Amino acid sequence: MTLLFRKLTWLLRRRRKEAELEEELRFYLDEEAEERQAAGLSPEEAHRAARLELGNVTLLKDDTRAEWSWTPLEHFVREVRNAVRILKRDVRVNVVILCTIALGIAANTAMFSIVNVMLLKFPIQNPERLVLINETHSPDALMPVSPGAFLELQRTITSFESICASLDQPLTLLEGDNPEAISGVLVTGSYFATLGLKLQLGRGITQEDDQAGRSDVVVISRALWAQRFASDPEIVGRTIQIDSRQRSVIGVVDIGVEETDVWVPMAFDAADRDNRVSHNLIVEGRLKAGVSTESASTELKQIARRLETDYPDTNGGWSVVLTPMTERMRVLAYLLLSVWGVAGAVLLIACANIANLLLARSISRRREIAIRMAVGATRFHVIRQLLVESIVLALIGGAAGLLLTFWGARGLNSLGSDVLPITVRMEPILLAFTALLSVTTGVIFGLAPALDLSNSNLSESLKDGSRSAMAGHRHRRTRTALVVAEVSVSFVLLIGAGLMMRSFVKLSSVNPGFNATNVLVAELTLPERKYASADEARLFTNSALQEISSLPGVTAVGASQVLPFSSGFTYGVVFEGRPDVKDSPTPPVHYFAVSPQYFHALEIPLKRGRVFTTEDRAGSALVTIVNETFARRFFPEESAIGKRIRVTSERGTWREIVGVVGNTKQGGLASRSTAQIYAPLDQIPFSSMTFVVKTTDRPMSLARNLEERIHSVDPEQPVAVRTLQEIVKESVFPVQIVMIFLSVFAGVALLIASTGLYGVIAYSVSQQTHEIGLRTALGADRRRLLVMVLRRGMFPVAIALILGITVAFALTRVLRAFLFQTSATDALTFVAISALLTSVSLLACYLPARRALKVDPMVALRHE
Amino acid sequence: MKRKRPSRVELLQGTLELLILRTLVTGPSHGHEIAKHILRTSEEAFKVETGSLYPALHRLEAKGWLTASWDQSEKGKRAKYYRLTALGKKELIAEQSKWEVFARAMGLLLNPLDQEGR
Repeated sequence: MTLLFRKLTWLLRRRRKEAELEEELRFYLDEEAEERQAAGLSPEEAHRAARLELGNVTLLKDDTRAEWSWTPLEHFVREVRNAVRILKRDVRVNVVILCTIALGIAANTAMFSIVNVMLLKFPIQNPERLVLINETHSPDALMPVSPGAFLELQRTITSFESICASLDQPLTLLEGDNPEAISGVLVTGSYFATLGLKLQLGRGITQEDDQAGRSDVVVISRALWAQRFASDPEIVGRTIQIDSRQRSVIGVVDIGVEETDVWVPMAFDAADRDNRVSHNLIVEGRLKAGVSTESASTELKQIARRLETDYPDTNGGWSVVLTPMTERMRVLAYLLLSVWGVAGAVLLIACANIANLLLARSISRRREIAIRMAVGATRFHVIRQLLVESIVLALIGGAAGLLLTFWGARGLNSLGSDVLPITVRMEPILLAFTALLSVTTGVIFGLAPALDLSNSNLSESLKDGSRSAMAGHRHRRTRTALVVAEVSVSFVLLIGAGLMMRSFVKLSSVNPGFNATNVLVAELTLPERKYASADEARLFTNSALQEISSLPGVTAVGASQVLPFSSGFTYGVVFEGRPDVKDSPTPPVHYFAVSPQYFHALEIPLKRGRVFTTEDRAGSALVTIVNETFARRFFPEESAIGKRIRVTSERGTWREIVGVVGNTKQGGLASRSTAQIYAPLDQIPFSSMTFVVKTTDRPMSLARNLEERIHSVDPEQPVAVRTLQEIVKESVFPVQIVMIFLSVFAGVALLIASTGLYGVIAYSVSQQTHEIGLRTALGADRRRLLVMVLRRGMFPVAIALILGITVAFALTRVLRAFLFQTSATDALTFVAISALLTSVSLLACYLPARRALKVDPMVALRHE
Repeated sequence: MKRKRPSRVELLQGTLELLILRTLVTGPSHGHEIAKHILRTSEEAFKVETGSLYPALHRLEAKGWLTASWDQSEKGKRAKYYRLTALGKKELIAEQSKWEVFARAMGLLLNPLDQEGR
């Protein structure tokens, strides 16, 4: 305490303390001189000896002052002030450095915030113990679980901490006057506990809520909370109207899980409890710690066998299997971390480049540093000063990088990113990360130049003449090595970007099997309460189809229960008259219910037979249309037309194949053509439905009218309208986003590396000015001189290319998972990127070379 | 002609403060005197560099172990005199006994025969 107090008062009396120290030392000097004079030295000699005795006064004062001042802090402030002053001195180079840092930091900050949202803040706890549980009756067709089977599993299972069931349920939120379609999930009481969903506010749904009569509660997503309720902190306890039922909000889930808006209790009724026929529940379970998936599988199989013996009618032939949930997460993590690796490489290139620039500049600072050391600065002081300069630079660059990240994120979001939510929020953790990264960056690029500068030979540096030649020579090798590293890493990144671009182009040109141009898509789900019977649903669909088709500008309109590019449902198929293939040995087949005009609206070509007509109604002969893949696989030697097949879920009903149509890419552009079958929508009505509307021109201009027509049939029916083109674009988004990231990062790397190359060449040319002048004066051919300079400049590029090609060959394998019909060693990409890099490098060398040749030989010769 | 200097030893880390405190037991003194006293008393073994002396004096003053005042020197010049405080005395006693334990232990370890022979 006294120490602090004394230092404080001393701080206030600074000037006086300074004078006192001065006097104290002078007194020492006088005493010492007097003593020596007494010993017989002359006054001058005595004084000189005393001075020698006292030693380095500046350093002594500095050290003493340190005892009574707030030295560390003061030093730091002074150091920073100094750094800013020095940085202002060399604005042009510093702007280049700042831009380089900003780009490198921005790339990493962006990746950090994405990883932070996607992985670190993943709302589910310990996802590695989560598994998906399915019922199955053939090895390839995993089916959701029936309520009866779920309850039996929940009652008897021991290898799980808990299991839960959920069921997607489109709902309508009535807030104010306008009904809004939201996606809901019905969940059992164990759902929140099983998944370990983190909540932002309130609590999750529990077993108490999951009972008839007490289930009027709802948990909402953070997105819905923010959009519809302005993030009201008092939301818990409020009552909102969902599907004409008043529900009280009990919690807000931390972040959006997939696309769910609300969670409501399942509340099975008595009929559900005995229902072992409707396979509609998504069942997830959390394994007990230490229980392997194998032993859990065995237990599930035992329960399935018991169900088979107890309920042979409904459960005969069915088994229960599990799939670990982490599979999807792992792919995502792999993707994100590899892109982050690329961002890290960009930052390293940036560091190499800045170190390079600083090394070049260090020549001009050699004298300044030498003088500082001559007046008593230690090596430590010098290194500290230089590092503070680097860190100040890096922090300014980091701040600029943060801004760049925000703009970049906005730009990316405008591309449409339902797949990767790139939300960069000004969070403390993001700021901390950026600050830490900036400081680290500053140390990385500043350390080598600082060590080098502080190591300089004092007297050598103080002598003016020897200035550049010696030091320059020593540096050239280091700097060339740095450039080689930069160029070769950029090359590898460019190859990666090139491969992704080629994949993207190929993917975009894949024929999905339908024509998405000028097609509007209207998605809706009929509320079960209102459309209880199949007839009512059928009536709605047919009236809506009629209404829409009468719209001007509409050329065809179809309906399907599944949207193209959504995964859809797969079933097993049995063939009539093939006893050897008894109970659905077929691989899963996509099964769609479509209206007659569907094929016409999407321009799916008819290959043989006929498409559905309005005569294919409920009650008329059951028919089906298969796609070419189906026909080729199951009827390779005969015509499929006229054959009869049965979908395993429709027991005892044979459907006659009446037509064969072209394949569509149901699982997205990159997917392989699957076997697909279609049935008339009238014969198997579904409650969720998609209208596909072919228009003559500009489909979105009709969106309003389309909604009106649907509302003329049912004014309360929510409907979502998009274009099919949008859906196609979204399906390539993952590939597109990897491509964009890689291209941007690789572009940045190329830019940084070429400025680095330019810097080195420009510097070495300026060193050669003398030689060039001499050669010109002696009559050397200018063109040959130019070639000479270029050859020297391109030498490191050639080495970098060889290195880069070798590394790229080894590394691009990593990308294979994202490549589409493109080899990881695609020759065209390698050649094109090499050419690109060579021409950029040539330009970077040519500009300074040309300048050198323009120099007047007389001036050049005078140049030291 | 110069007499050959007696062999000097480096001051051990932290011992300078102890020596300064010990020197001041006999009464207030200024920097130059303290340095000379240590040099003389140690038979020229300890040469206190001014570069360490003054920082050490100011450090001890900051800690409150010494106080300083300006006074007339013997030759009539103004000099900064350092004086031991009560706190400084207490520290000196503590440091000195620590040092004695240390020195004895070093002696025992370095000259075991001396001890056994006795």
